[in-house]
Amino acid sequence: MKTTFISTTVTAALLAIFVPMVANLHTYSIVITVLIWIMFGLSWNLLGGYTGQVSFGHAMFLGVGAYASMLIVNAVNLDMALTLLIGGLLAGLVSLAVGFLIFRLKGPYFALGTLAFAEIIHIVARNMKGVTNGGEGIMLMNRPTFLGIQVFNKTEYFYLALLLATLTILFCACLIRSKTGYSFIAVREDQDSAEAMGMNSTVVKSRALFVSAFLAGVAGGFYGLYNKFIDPEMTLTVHMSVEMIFVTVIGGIGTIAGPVIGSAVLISLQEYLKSLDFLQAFPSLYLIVYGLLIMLVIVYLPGGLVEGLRKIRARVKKES
Amino acid sequence: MAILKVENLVKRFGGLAAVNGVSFEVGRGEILALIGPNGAGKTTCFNMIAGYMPPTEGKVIFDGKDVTGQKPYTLNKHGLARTFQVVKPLARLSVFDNVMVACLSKSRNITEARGKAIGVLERTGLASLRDTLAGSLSIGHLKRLEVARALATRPALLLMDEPMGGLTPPEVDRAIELIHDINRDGVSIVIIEHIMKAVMAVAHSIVVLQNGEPIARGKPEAVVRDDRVIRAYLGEGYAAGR
Repeated sequence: MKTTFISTTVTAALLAIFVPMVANLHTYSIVITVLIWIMFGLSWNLLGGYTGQVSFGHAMFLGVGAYASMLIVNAVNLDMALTLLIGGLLAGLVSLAVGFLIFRLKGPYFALGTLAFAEIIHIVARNMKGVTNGGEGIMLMNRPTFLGIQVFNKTEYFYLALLLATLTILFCACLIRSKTGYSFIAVREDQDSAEAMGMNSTVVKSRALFVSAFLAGVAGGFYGLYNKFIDPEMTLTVHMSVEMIFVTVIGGIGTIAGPVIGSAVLISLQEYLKSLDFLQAFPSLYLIVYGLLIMLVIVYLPGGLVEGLRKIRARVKKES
Repeated sequence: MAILKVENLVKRFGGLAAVNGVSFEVGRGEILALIGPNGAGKTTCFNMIAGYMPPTEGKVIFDGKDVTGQKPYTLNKHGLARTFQVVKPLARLSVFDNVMVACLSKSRNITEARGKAIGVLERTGLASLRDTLAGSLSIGHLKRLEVARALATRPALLLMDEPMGGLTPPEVDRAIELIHDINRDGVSIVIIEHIMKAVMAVAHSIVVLQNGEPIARGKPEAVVRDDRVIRAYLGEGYAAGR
């Protein structure tokens, strides 16, 4: 716990100092994107990694948070601290309804259920033009503030993203070592056992889903405001849900470091591949290379990059 | 007053009556053994008592209250714990964490649960394995971990489903000791077990099931001499060897 706390805050502080020294607009956008995906990954990981409920529809919580925040800022320009909180809570609220209907399903059926739900919300968002402006999307019309400080250019968004990602990491690390966190893990490992130990598995799962949806909603709100534009395709598609799973699984499912490392590696890799000349002839070719790399990790490192690092550390220790 | 009273329990799966009219009582501080051939309905009985499946008919009365059809976690809060025949460890957690998690529901926080877990591990002889991953334990230790976890929830009644299946003879002896030890603390026990030596060593009374129906009940000495029990389950060899 202490080491997580120290390493997270130290890393965050170093990033806060050094990134602005070297960054240009492009690096800022990569770093901010990585930080956003860290939040999404950690959110998915609480439910999928720690509670064992694999969701293929987490984009719906991202989307609810993104739309709520965008609409609030455009309408009343409420401070972002409150806006994001409301976005998160709304996503949590949606999760309660979803959970009530869906937690009677198990395993692959649960995954399919979440996928279906997210798709419903995607279709609703595309057609409910009065609220979401349909496929045309919503532009950010105001200059938002966070605790009274204006957040508009990349540097400001970078600091805010760093703050939010750090808070999310610390929050998840604390949660997982609490009574609630252990109940998540118990349900993941064996639901019957958890019930025999006095845990109501439905309540435990709903709680995990709520927290997970809340975090996805907050991160989604930030994601929308940072992009200054949202539409259903960039918030509510399966692609977003699957990317959350990727960053977590590649990094190391069921670990705090997993989504952090996974996002850093995958997002940088995506950007790098996109910038390669020979891949630019075909705009989507980089996705094939990306997919191949993901397959390699899954086959050779089922525990993700975190497991790989552990193996290397163990080997170094042995040799020395 | 009996701690557990089972009245005319019936469970039908389609046309098959897995349990058909089973009734028995467990007194406070008593150890009752449920024996019978495979498929007799012993585990189904446990599942109905512990809330894992609702009975088709009949009643389960625990501590004077009708608890028929209540969920396992509710029953556990009221002091009914069980172990599983097919062990269900939290495989990717250490032995210590397994027991600590079991202590959680009756603790205010993690620190309190940790303190309790140390006590339970020492009592069940698992202290030396505390940092081992539960998934890599031998079957003997896994069975012990099942008991440790059930004990960690501080039960008044413990249902043990074949706690000695797959154990070596010395392990069986240690398990018998552990059961006596648990019982001395005032925990009533219902045990399903095939190892007759163990049943005779711990049980105060026995209920014998065959094809879902009770065919004998009473003191162990009398039950093992019962002709029907010998024919249905124990076999002539066992009877002759006594």
